[in-house]
Amino acid sequence: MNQPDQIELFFSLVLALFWEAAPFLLLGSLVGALVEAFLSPELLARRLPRSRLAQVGLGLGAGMLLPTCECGVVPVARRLLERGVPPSTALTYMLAGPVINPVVLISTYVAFQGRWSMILGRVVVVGLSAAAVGLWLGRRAGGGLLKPDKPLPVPLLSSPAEAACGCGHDHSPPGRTPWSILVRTGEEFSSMAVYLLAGAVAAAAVKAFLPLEILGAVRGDLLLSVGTMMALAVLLSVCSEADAFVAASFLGFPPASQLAFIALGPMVDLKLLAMWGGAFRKGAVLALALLPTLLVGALSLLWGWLCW
Amino acid sequence: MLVRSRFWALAEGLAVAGLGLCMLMLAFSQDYWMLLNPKFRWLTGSAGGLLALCGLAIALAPGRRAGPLRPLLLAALLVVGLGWDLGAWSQPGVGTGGAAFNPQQRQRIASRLSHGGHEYIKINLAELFLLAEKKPPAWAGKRYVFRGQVVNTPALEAKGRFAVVRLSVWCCLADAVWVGFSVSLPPGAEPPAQGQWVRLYGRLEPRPAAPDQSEAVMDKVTNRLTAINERCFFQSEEVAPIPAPSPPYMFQTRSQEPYAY
Repeated sequence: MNQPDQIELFFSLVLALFWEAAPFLLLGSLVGALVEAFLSPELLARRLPRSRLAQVGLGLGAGMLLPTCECGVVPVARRLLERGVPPSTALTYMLAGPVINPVVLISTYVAFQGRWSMILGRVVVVGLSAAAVGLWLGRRAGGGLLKPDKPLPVPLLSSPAEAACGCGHDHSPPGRTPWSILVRTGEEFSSMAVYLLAGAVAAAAVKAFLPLEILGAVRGDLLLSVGTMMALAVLLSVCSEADAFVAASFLGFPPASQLAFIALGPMVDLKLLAMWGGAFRKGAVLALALLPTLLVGALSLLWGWLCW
Repeated sequence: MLVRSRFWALAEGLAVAGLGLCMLMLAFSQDYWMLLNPKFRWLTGSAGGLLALCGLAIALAPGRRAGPLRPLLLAALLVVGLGWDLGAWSQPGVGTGGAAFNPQQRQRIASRLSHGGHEYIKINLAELFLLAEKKPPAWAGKRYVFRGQVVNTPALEAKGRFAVVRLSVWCCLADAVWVGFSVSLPPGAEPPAQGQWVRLYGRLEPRPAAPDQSEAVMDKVTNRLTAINERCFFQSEEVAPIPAPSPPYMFQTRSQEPYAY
């Protein structure tokens, strides 16, 4: 393939990544707008469990029951945090939801020819990593994790007098007409789309220009292959529904490295890093990226040593 | 300090609406498969329609103000997207030929083929690849026919072999992987040319030994992630040159007959 081919491939990959994720981002923006319009902080305060462990369990349970994709879940998590849902629930759901749902688990089953150890490994590694992030960041209020230039959460505001706090943000109740829902959805999509685009450009550049010959050299070594596959998972930014097939095609690689690839990719990748950068404060982005990376690496290696 | 104004808010809304229309156009485009698996055509189309409405809504939202960065970035994406939709680019890839693919032209085809006195199961390379990974082997004693593109390396040629690959797309071009087999030529046959599309008739055989690096990692030749099956090789009985199939990519993998072929 010559250089012009590579450049065309790069643009095609940018478009493919963006068009693939756009419907899910739009759906997530719509759900986020509906959450904002119809889910009152008071209701959430009454219904959500107080214990942090139970909140994490709720996030994992929601992830199992509500199939979502990693790009679409970011605006949903942001709105949930704004409405006062604790980070232990919202962030656990954000990280685990794209992986531990039935749709993705079935695709994992098909890609790995019914190898239950791989499916179970994926659920356990992702579940533990997401729970750890939820517990860690759950010590803080959700609003403190979000970027300050975004609309602030109003968990306890109940009257117009309280809403008119003079802080410069619009705390008035969001409109519930279809048109205002469309406006909120469009605004949310637009604000996240530029970050998605940045992530898609970075991932496409990696795919189009990164020499892949290096892979052959590392596949014989467990530690190196796990590290390399984790790096690839972040750089390639493959969607969680398809990543099991891509992982399965890395023939000759230790299963632990394939597990690391399918566990880390949907939780941390270039698209997500860019989108988190648009929604969360630096400290939160750092925790969202580092904790899962360390845990997936450690758990995959442990799984590799114990099972294979 | 960037100036937030009503003008940029209008531009942002129009850029979002334009992206929605661009997605709608893509959903109706014959070249949709070059970027995304056609099974998502309905999703792209309906999301495009909704996005166009959302863009219109934010463009018309009274009193809304915005800065220039977002509308400019989205407009740049819109230009690239429209360029694709209007066919400004050729299709990148290894010899795919850019053939148009109309799913409505698909016909119901028989799942087996009689050729040279034998019956062959029609299958595509991704399906055969997954079949070869199964334990116990479900392929033993069966004959298969599939289509793929020839990849030669000096190491393979030295062994009297070549590889046949085809691009498998699960969701979109970004997760596409070349999958294939190492192929043994029938006695006396000449190896086909690099990049040639071929139809192969033959059987799967277990590999006597693990493949060496040159076979296992062909990414340098195809310039993309490439997986050559490590459990089996394909013992070909006939290799027939064919034009590129339409579509050249594989979008479906079935686990039993009739296979997608």
